[in-house]
This record gives sequence, structure tokens and C-alpha cells, in this order.
Amino acid sequence: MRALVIEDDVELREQVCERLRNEGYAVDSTGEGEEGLFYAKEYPIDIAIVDLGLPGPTGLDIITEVREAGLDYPILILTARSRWQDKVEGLEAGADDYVVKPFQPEELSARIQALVRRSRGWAQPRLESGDIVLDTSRQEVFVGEDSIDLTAYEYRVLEYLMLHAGEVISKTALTEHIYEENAERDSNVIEVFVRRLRAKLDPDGTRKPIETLRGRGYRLARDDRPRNAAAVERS
Amino acid sequence: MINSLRARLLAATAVLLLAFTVLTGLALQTAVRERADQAEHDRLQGLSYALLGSADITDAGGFNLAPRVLPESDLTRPDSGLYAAVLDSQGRMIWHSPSLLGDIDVPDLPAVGQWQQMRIPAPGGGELISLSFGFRWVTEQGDDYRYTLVVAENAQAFVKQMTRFRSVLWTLLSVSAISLLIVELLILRWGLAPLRRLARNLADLESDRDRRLEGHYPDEIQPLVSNLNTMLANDQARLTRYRNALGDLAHSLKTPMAILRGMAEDKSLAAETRDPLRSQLARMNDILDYQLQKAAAAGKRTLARPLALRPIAERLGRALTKVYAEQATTFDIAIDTRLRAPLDEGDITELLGTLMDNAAKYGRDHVTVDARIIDRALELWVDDNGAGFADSAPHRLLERGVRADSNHEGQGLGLAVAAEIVRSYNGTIELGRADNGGARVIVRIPLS
Repeated sequence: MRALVIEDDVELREQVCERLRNEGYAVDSTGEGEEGLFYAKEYPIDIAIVDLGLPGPTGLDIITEVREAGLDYPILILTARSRWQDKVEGLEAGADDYVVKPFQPEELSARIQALVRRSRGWAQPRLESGDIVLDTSRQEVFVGEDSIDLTAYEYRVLEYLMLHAGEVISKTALTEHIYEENAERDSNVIEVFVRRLRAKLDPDGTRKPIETLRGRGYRLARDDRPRNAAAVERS
Repeated sequence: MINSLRARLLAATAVLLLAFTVLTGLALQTAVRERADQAEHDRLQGLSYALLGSADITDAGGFNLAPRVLPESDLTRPDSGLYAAVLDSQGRMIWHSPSLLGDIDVPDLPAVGQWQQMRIPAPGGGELISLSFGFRWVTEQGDDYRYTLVVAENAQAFVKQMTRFRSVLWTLLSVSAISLLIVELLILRWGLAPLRRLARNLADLESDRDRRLEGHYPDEIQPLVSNLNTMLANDQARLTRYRNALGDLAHSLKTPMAILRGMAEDKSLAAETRDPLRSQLARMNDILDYQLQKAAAAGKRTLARPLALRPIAERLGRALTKVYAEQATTFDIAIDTRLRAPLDEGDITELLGTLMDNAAKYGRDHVTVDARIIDRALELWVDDNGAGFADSAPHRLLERGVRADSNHEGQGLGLAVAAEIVRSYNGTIELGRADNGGARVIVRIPLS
């Protein structure tokens, strides 16, 4: 999952970024509205966290432009202004939720996770595909009853595939969504991650949860369980 | 006390006009009557001279006047209404004109050489206007006779003439007074029209987006209008400036507080340090929020534009539907489309936002908002379908800083903030139970 953090206070931005990275997000960040707007429109973002009180183009301007550009990833507002008029303006401009400063860090994480999950049509924090269960709130993975230990990148790949279960995800897309903009990238590494994931999730190679579609990418089997209908429509 | 400029001016004018009319009428009436009396006097005097000129005194002191020498034919025609008589010093009638059929009674004889005009009863009833003249007649024999010549005319014609004059006079005066009053009424209408326009515009102000009085007014009112406009503009600008300043203050304080709050999560700190750090920060935030909200409330203001409440509630409902998407909370806005109340938009947005957010947060998945105007007061209620307020003193939630649910850090202030806004409108807030057992918050704001 790739998150964009636009917050002009350096220290707060670092805190939020660090927290998100710890939770398995690839994070791009900026404190400047103009740059934020560029990232928001050009990067393959899965969720944006936008401070409303930015110098230059305000958070509100960024949200409005992102939505006008037809981008529909979830946006969370960070605001110090707790008046309803400000919050409603942000939500009307196209944001999906807000968190008022000072916030409880866990609350911020929970809201972000919920937004990402809902944007992919998952109503529950537990993502399931066959006997694989990924608990986004605790970042734990189970196969059946067994807890599986994953590295940060393996987790990112699995989370992305599970959120997009049933869809074919190209290696490029995976790379873009698990790496930050200025990270060293190597799309061959994706193959390594997938191979390791298969080994951990399906040690005896019987169920083959991750399908490889030659030249197109990977696909994780999608459960038939109903998803959040409204969110699917939107995404 | 008459409470209308027009009524006051009209009443004053009416009294003035009445006094003027009555005095004019009386003066005219007196003057005309005097003139008529004088004319009558002159006529009778002329007649008297004519009679005296053709009179003869007999030796025995009798008075003689041949009917054919009488200066007026009416004096010979019986009961014609014009009479003449001569009385001796004892008041006995010694001669009378043929027209006089009865007796004539002059109660008071004038002195010699004196004219005396008076009204006396006529012989056949009615009234006579009489002119008596006292004279002496010294005969060649040296006899000295004392006589009184009385010339009288029936007053009926005179009275009739005067009556007719009076009725014409008063009719004309009344008609002119009424016409003047009507003209005055029209003048007042025209003259006070700018004031009526001002009043109408002030009333329209409440539906006016710009909150200013348009149009040009007469010189006497224009300064008032300009001052009102300045006041209205300043009022709005000050509120906006004030709220922006408070927003900036919140922003500049809350970002550092957010950093501190994040630092309180640092696992390298001991739990004994982290917990007080968190709770003190939460406390600071509560105080800051409460005071900022309280300061930003506009409260009851004069000339506030009545706002349609439904669109505001619907806007909040749409925004909150996004926020509570996880719970799939639905918002049912039952407020009548036509319902309007003169509240500040910021205040009502804050009040409704806080109450609806609270209902969504503590309720299950449905929030109902309704409002109506009862007895010149806005009554507004927000219901949820949750477990309702705890039975133990729910009103404590309305006091500052008391939290109902400690799981929601820093969010327990909602009702206290709402109560503060309601108080700024001299209203009341009441916590009750909805029909389905959920919580119900009822707000009453007097509108008069």
C-alpha cells in the first residue's frame, strides 16, 4: 500500500510517516502544497493523508483537484480546526474521513486502514482468501490456525494482493504500490517476494493460492463472500 | 401613547384643524351677525327718520301719521311683519301703523335722543327686532311731549337668513377641514414613505445574503441607513475575523500538541510517564476546544437572517455518512423544507454537527433529526437508536469536561459544547429517551 502524507509540520509529518511505514505502507511525504498536489496526481497512491492548513495550495485545493482529475483513492483529512464548517467543507470537497489534531496515533492508523480496506470493498478488517487470513488491524497473517511470520515487504505484497483479490496485478503495479518514490527498485525482487510468500503460505505446494499469469502478473483467488457493495461500486 | 408617527402627526393635525375651524367659524359668524344687525339697525333708523319727518302732533299731544304718507307700504298692510308705534312717556301706545294689529310691549324706554335696539316678543308670537327712539316734541303752545318711536320688524326673516348663513358656513368649513385632513393623510403617506421602505428593507434584510440596506434614502434618514450598513458589515466581518483568528490559534497550538501526543506513544518511555502525558494532553485539548468553541459562538444577534435548517442538516448528514461509513449509519433529516430560524450559520452548523456526530458515535446505525417552531421557539431534536443515556445523572454530560465514555478520548465535550451554543441563544438543552429507547437530545431556542 502506498500512502501520501501532506503535512507542513516536519516533526508531525515524520511521526505519521514512521507510524505508517511500521504498519507496512510505502510512504511518500511532503510539507509543501504544490509538491503535494503533484505527488497526489502523479503517484500511484492508495491513500492520502492531507493537512487542511497548508501554505500554498491548501489541503482543500489539493483534494478538489485530485477529485477533479478523476482519482478516487481515499483521502483522510488532518485538521487542527475542529469546527464543523471546516470539516464539512473538506468532506464535501472529496475527502472520505477526518482526524482532528491532536489525535491518538492508533486512531489515525485505524481510520487509514479502514479507508483503504473499504476502498477495495472489504467491510471487515480481516481479509480472507481461502484459508489465508490477513488481519489488517494487527498486521497478522494466518493460514488456517497457524500464524505466519512475514517480512515487511512480504507483508506489503500479500496485503496488496489480498486487497485486490480476484484481480490480476502486474509486477509493475506491485512495485509501484510497495515502494516509495525514491526507493531502490528492482522488479525481479517482486518475483523473489512472491516465491517466498508461496513457500510460507503453501509449504507443501498443494493449494497454490497465488496464481501466476504469464506476462500479465499475479492473482490471488477471491472468496465468494460478499463484499461491501457500496465501496465496490465506488472503486 | 400613540405608537405611530403617522397617527401622531394626524392626531395633532386633526386637533389643530378642529380648533382653527371652530374659531374661524365663530369669528365669521359673529362678524356677519354684527354686520346684519347693523344693517337692520340702519334700515330701521332710516325708517324712523322718515316717519318722524312726516309726523304731526295734534294739539292734545296726540301723534298723527296719515297712512298714505307712510314711507313703506308694508306699514299699511296688516300683519305684514313691519310695524311702527309711538308710545307716550308712560309707555302707552298713542299711535301705531295699520300693519300692527295687536299691542307692542317695549319693556324699557330709551332716554330722549337715544336709540335702543332690542328684541321683543311679537304680538302674534315670534320675535321682533325693534329700534326705539326717545324724543320730545315741543308744540308752538309750549307743550312739551315726551314720546318714544318704536319701529320693529319681524325677526323671522333675519333669523332664517342667519340660520341659512350658519349652515352654509359650517358645511363649507367642515368640508374644507375634512379635505385638509385627507390631503394631510396623503402628505404623510408620501412623506413617511422612505421610513416605510426602510422598515421593509430591514425586514427583507433577514432574507438578504449581503446583509445590507440598498437604495437611496432622504437626507434625514440616509445617515441612519449608512450607519446601519456599516454596523452590519462590521458585525459580520468581525465575527469572521474572530473565528479565523481562533482557527489560527487552534492550528498553531494543536499541531505541536499532536506531536506531543505522538511522542507519548514512544515505547522507550516508561508507562508511568506516557499515561500522564496522554491524559494531560487530552485535558489541555478539552479545555482548548471548549473555550474556542465557546468564544466562536455568535449567539443571539439582532437582524439575523432566518436560515433554512434542512439544507444545513442535510449537508452534515452527507458528510457524516462518509465518516460513519464503517457503521453504515444512516441519517434521516425530517425537518420541514420551509422551516427557517434566525440563527448564525456557524452556530447552527456547530450545534447540529456536534449533536449528530454524538448520536452517530454513541448510537447504533440510525440518526433522526427533526425541528419545528412551537410557541415562538425553535425546538430541535436529534435521536439515535443506541442504548440511550446512562440513567445516572445524564445532565452531567452537559457540564464542561465530563465524559460519558472514556473510550473516546477528548470527544466527551460534544454535549457541553452544544449546551454552550444553546446557552448563547438563551435556550435550553435536555437529554431524554427516544421512542425506540435510544438517546434523544432536545434543544429549545426562543426566537422572540
